[in-house]
Amino acid sequence: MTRPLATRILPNGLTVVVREDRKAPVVTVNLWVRVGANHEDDSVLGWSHGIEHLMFKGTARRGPGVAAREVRDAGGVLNAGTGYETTNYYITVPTRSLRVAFNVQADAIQNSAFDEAELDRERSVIIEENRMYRDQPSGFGHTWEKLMSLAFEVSNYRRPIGGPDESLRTTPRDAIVAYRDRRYVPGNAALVIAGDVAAAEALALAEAAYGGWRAAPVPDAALPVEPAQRAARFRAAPGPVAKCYVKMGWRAGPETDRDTYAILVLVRLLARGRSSWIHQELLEKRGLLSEVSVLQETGSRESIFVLDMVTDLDALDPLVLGVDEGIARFRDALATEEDLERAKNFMVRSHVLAQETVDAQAHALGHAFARGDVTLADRYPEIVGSITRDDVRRVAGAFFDLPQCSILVHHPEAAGRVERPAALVRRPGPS
Amino acid sequence: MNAASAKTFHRIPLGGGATLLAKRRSALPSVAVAAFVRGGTAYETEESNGVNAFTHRAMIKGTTSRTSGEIARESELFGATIVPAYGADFSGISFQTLARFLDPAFEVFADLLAHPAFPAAVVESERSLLLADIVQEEDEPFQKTSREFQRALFGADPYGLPGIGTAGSVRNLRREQLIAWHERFYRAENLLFVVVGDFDEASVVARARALLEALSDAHPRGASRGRIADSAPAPPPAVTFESLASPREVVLERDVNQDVLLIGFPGPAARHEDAYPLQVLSAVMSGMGNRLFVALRDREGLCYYTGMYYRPLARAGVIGAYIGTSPEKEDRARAALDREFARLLDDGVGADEVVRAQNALIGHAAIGRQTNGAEASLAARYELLGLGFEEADRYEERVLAVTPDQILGAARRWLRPDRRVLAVTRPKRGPG
Repeated sequence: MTRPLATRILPNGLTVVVREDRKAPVVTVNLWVRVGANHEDDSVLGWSHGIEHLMFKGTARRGPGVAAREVRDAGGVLNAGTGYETTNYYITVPTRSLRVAFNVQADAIQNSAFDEAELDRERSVIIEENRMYRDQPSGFGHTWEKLMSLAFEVSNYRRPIGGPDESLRTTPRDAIVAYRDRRYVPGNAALVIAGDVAAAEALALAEAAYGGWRAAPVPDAALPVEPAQRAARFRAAPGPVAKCYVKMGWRAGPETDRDTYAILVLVRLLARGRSSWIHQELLEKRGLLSEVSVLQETGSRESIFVLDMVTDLDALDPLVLGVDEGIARFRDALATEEDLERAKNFMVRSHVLAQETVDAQAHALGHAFARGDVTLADRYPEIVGSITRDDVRRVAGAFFDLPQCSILVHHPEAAGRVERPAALVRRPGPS
Repeated sequence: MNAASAKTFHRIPLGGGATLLAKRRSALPSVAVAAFVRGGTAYETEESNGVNAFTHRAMIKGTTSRTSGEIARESELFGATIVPAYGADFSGISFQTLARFLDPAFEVFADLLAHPAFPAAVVESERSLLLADIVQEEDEPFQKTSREFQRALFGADPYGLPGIGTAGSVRNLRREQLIAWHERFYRAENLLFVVVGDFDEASVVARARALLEALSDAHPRGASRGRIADSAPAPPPAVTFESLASPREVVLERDVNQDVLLIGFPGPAARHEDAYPLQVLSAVMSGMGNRLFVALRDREGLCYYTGMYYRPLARAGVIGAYIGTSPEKEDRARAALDREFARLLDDGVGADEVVRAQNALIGHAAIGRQTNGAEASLAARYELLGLGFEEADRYEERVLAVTPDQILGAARRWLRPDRRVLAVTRPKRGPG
């Protein structure tokens, strides 16, 4: 169904991964660097993301904005994303423009000027991006940052990817460039190419574009990991909203652990899809909420799974109790065989549908590289298939108890002070 | 390209006026299936506003033989999430799954289309969810601003109505109205099926025909309280642009960190000769490295996002430009947007800009058409608009035929200051 991967490590240390896929006349070139908000020290907060912006603000050969324009003129799409652990830059083009993609991207990564005047202009653009997120009450907006700072006290996951405005306004160019030069080294990155190109040709183009990227020592990746949580955490955050936005988060181990896959099955049964327990029981039958989804941030050292819910304040207590009741169903008893089959079928189906686009394929491969093993992307169906009902019960007990939970409630200001949900008062944690 | 894949769709009449568009793509063992009808918010009134969304959301939550929970469990067991789509002109239900699950998933899908039961408890539960969504929109500045923009843009025309209805209308909608809405639109002569991916055509045709039979058994022609005519529902009357000829401004005061500003004009319908020129114009104006992005973001650092779009509908269209900017920069952002519109109307666009925009549109179309779902929606849209799915295959030719003169002409015809609408969400401004 999918062709084997071609991989090569260039002499400078850059990993190149190619997935040849001739379904459609398009190709994507996606560079993954192991650099994200978690790697910042206090002197460069927010600048992993800031660097992503500055990569398109000009090189010796291309003026500010020319890279993006060149890609667009060639019928392509250029964009990038910064996370806690990685930054990735992708250019997707019609096959005939493949060389443009390599040229533009390699030039931006290796030769960006970070011109002082461009930097100063971009500071306000980045601050505008942060403002936009602060006006989004659900998903990865405002409440995500608040929940992360509640669930993590030691780990760098406690800090927002966008950084504080003050750091964005004042961090000097030298500090930003030094941080970039330390982290942006070929041994810390992978170039993933997926789509309508022969593997040998893609490898040759990759070598030509990136072979000259100067090798440098790979920076140390040791970072603090959050210790075990013994008591539930709660924070109420009043705001200018009409609905009540509730996030419940549980931390877990490294993404590469088999447990993570068991958790993915568990959260599917609990809250993903209309057949999930929360959807059927709490949303459709009891009317305790109007929306539920599961957000996840899974890294090479630790992870978090978050229920993202929309409700009204008067339903908060029964909602939290109901969520715990749902988890208890999978903690205290085995899921049914049909439950397990349904969850797995759906997960495998989503994996297959993700093969429809070159972007999704490259994203899965780059993500797996960043977590330490590029083969994980293709092994997903096999690992999911191996999860048992016992695995699901075990992870529900090990990771999803109420004392291990962090709850953030973003509610209308007019409601006044909001107390801890009753479920937490009853079961705060081990005494 | 895979030899077993077809280059384009195959149109198959199913009888009674229903059509199936089929396109085989066998590189992956997946398939996308959809059923669409001509019908949507544009067919509503202020009083019935939201009935189309309400009907479609309730349709997937109970049939004469399956409960909501059974539908969800059964379809997800077969790898499918069956989702409703409810637009201004067209609506429907669709799913995607693995080829090996197509038959059992289709069975659930057919049951939803032919035998929705609209149980009273489901109707009340769905009403609460719709009302919650209406309130939630107040918390989402971009959605709320867009909604008010559309309202102001179309005045009393149903295109101005919010798809999910208003609190007032949704509270008053009755179960009987949902049943009647389904009966009115889900009729063979108004139905289009689309299937893209790895499937057996004969089997899908047989299943679609069986579905049509079940539908006609459920809603016999001319029977059923005499409500049903023997032809497809008549479309709403044409939009009268003259009634829209006065500039309007809508200001929403909210405690936001960033203003959302939309400026726009009512535009031509999808089949109008100005439609392609306006699409190329939007590509000249927006996207990284183009006019608005360079002027407002790169040069002045006013925003993170800005752009322009033309959204063609069946009877009219929407032309809009948007920006998110800090409250203290709003005046500069407005002035900059106005300046870009004025420059466009005075000088038009350059030949080189047009070529670049054409390349971008054609390339982006190829990138966007990779998924079975996207391919199905695109073909359905053109078919329902009366252009035929073939229009998707003519896209490149149509885009390349656009000239700078056509763009200037279209801009001057539609970006008229007397029809300009502005909607903004911003914090309350202090006195003075």
